[in-house]
Amino acid sequence: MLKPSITILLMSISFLLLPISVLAAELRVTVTTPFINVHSGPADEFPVFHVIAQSEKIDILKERTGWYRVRTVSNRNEEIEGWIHKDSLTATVLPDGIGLKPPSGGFDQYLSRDFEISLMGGVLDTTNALTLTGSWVWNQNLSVDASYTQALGDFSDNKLWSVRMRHTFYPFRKVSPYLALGTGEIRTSPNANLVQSGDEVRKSNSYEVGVGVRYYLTDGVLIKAEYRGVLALTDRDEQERLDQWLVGASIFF
Amino acid sequence: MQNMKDKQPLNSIVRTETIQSTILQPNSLPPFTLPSLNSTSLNSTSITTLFATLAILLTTMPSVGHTQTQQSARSNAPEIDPAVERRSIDEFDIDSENVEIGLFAGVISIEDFGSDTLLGARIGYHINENFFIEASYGQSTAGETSFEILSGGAPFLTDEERDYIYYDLSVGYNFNGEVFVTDSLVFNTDFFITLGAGNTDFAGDERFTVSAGVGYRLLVTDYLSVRIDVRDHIFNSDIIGDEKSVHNLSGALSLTVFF
Repeated sequence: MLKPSITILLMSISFLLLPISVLAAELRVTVTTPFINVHSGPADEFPVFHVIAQSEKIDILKERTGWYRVRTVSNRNEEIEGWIHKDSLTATVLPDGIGLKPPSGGFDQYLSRDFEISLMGGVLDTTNALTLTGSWVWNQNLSVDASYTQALGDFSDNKLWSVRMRHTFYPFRKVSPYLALGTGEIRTSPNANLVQSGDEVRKSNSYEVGVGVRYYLTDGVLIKAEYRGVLALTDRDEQERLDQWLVGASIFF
Repeated sequence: MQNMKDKQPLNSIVRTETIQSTILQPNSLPPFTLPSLNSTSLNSTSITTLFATLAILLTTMPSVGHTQTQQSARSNAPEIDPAVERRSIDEFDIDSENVEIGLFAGVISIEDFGSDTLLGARIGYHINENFFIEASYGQSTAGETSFEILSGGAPFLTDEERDYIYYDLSVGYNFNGEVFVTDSLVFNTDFFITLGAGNTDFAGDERFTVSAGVGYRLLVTDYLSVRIDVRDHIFNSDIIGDEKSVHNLSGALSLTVFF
């Protein structure tokens, strides 16, 4: 005889587990075309080792880079798991007869993105510089960038971060120029072998203007080329201007 | 339902390949025989034949590859019936596993400072079947230079300066494949190359570092992989005398998960 408290505990556990099992329920679809090829791995290069025939049922388990892992039962009653391309999903219907639409993965997906991550390399004045930028896409034209650049030179190391607003002029075209305005900070520290006076880091606020071009290359990748003019508001009498040239790529989610 | 034995589409692809390569075998050229390779003096005709055969093989390869892609593309892209009502798959809770995260341990040979244990972590995102981007972080502690050991004199670096810490961002390209351990035990694998840039904090300075490497990923299950990475980390250094570009080779074994 279970004590009431244990019964309540078990009930609450099963109640907690319930939503999980509902979530884990797989998507079951029926094949409508003569056949669908099943590959042994999530890429076109992997061989086709099984064919799912018309009117057979498949369970969709997970997705990786446009490929779906599916489970099906062979005519020998063996369970078979393999990978089908996302385009094969258009050849299936849900139990209620409604077709499935795979993610386009193309330019449409780009237009519905929320975030972008860009990695760019280039020069800041004469030093090699590496820039990492995260962007939040506000609307088709405007996005907010948070950018970090490091330029490690022979005499000093520069680290720049900035927050900026970016305007894309023709968001619905594959090639579009953009303009960005932002503000941030530059940290400059001399190299250890030159100055032995310890960690003397200079900090200055900065303004920046960026002009660039983005190009939608293919399946989720953008190519960008950009010029940034950075104005450092130094403690000294004159302000310092830095020119940065960048080339890189972005991915989006 | 068809089982493994009568996989019609695959067989047809293989057959096309064989036919193509037989047709394109040059009849006019003398047959290439193994003894001519083994003989110590390779005469010029056999070398010409070798090059001609290689050239023909290379030029025909793309066309064979092309037929294969066409075939599979056709089978992958069935005609879309516009009359059918469709629901986006995004509405369903299908797990996407494009992120790879893992830990690694290995050895790094820090130029002039000996080989030392390397520990680190990495996170990657797979953009498509072939390309991925990856951020890595690794740390090691440099040993002593042979000069320090032999002379027994003052050390070049303090203990703190011997900490070798790097991070970098790389782009990688996967060559997808399989490994057949036994008849029935087959694993998916990727041979990959990476190219990246980042930062190395060593000997009291941060240095712009370029890294290039090759690796091999064996997928134990769909989401668990064992990787071997060999990378060269290159930066300019004047720690010991004149400035030179140093190559720090590392080899590491990683365990990563996809989620």
